Amino acid sequence: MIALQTGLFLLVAAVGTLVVFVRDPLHQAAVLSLFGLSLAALFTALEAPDVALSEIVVGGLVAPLVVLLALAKMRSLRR
Amino acid sequence: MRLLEILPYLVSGWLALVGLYGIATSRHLVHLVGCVAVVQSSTYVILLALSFQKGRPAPMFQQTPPGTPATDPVLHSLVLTDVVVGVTVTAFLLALVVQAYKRYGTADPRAITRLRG
Amino acid sequence: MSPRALRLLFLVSALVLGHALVRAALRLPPHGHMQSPYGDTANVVSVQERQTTDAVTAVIFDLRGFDTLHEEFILFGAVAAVLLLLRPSKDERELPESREEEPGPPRSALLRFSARLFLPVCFVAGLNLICHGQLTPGGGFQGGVAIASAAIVVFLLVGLGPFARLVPATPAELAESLGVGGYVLLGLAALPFGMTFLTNVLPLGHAGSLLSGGNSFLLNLAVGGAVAGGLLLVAGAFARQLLRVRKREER
Repeated sequence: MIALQTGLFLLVAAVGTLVVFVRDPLHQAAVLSLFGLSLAALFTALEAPDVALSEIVVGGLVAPLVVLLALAKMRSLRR
Repeated sequence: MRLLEILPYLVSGWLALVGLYGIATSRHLVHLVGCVAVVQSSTYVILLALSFQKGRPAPMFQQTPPGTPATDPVLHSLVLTDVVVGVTVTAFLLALVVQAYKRYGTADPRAITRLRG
Repeated sequence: MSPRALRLLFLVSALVLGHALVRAALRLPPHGHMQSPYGDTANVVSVQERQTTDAVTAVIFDLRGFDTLHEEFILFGAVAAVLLLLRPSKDERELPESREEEPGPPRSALLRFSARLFLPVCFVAGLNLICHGQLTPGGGFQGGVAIASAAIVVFLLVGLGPFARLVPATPAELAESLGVGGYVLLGLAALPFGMTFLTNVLPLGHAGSLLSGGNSFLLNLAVGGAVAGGLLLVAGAFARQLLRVRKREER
C-alpha cells in the first residue's frame, strides 16, 4: 500500500510537470486528461472513492473538452 | 524514512510551484488556464493527503460496520465540491480567453498589455 | 522584462516560497498519522444520528449543508458569467439553425447508433449515482457531472449540430435554476416549524434504505440538477459560439 501510494504521488508530480511544460495548448489538453486520470488513481489509493469519481469525469472529460472547444473557436476566428 | 513521510506535502508544493512557473512564463492564454488547473490540483492533493490515516478504510459504512474508524470525510467533502466548481471556473476563464482573443487578435499574454473595451 | 530575467526572478521567489513550504512540511504530522477529531465525530454521527451510510454525503448536505449552498452559488455565478461572456456582441450575429453546413466527423452509422445507445444508459447511470448519494459513494455532484458528460459524449460521437439540438437552452436552464432555488427553498422549509435553516424536514429513516438521511435525498437531486444543467449550459454556449456566432461583415 505504501509503495502504491508513493508511486502514485510521484506519477502525479511527473504528469503535472508535463502539463506545464507541454506548451502547445492542443497537446496540453490530452495531457490534462491524463493528469485527471492519475489524480483519480491517487485519490482512490488515498481511500477517497467519491472524490475519485468526480475527478474522473471532470478532469478526464469536461475540462479537456472545454479547452478543445475554446481552441476550436480561436482557430475558426483565424480563418 | 523521513522523505516518504512528507512526500505528499512535497508533491503538493511542487505542483503549486510548477503551476505558478507555467502561469508566469506562459506564451498562450489557453496553456495558462491549464496551469491554473495544476495549481488547483495541488490543493486537492494536500487536503486528501491530510485526510488519509494509516490502515483506515473509506468513510462508507455499507460494508464496513458503523463505528470503525475511517478516513476524514470533512476534507473529502471540501475537495469534492471544489473539483466540480473548479471546472466551471475553468470554463469561465476560457470564455474570457476567447473574448480576449477576439479583441486583441492574439493569444500571447505578453502582447496583451493595454485594456481595450 | 526579458524572458531570462523573468525566469530568474521566478526562480528566486520560488526558492523562498519552496523553502517555507518544506519547513512547513517537516512540521506536519507524517503522512498517515493525522489526528482528526472532527472527522471521527462526523463518521460516528452520520450513521447513528443522521442514518446516512455515506459519511461524505452526510457532511456535504447535512452537517455542513450551508457551505454547499455557497458552492452552488459559485457554480451558478460561474455559469452565468460564461453565458454572459459568450453571447453575440454588438458586432456579431448568431446564425439560425441550418442542417446543411455543419462541420463534424464523417457520418458513420455505427457512431450514431452507439450514441443513441449510450445516451440513455449513461443518463440512467448518472441518475442512479445521484439517488444513491446517501448510501454509497456518489451524490448530486458526481451524478450531475455524469449526466452532463453523457450529452457531451454524444457531441463527441456525432458532431456539434445534434448536440446543440439535444441541449436546447430551456430544459438545462430550468434544471439549473430549480436546482439552486430548490436547495434554498428546502432550507427555508424548516423555518415554519420553528427550526433553523436547513434542518432536516424529511424523516431520517433507516440507515441503508433509499429514503434515509432526511433532507439529503432531495438536496442530492437539487444539486444534481444544478450541476448537470450548469455544465450543459456551459458546453452549449461554447458549441453555439463555435458553430453559429459570426462577425457581422461575414457572409
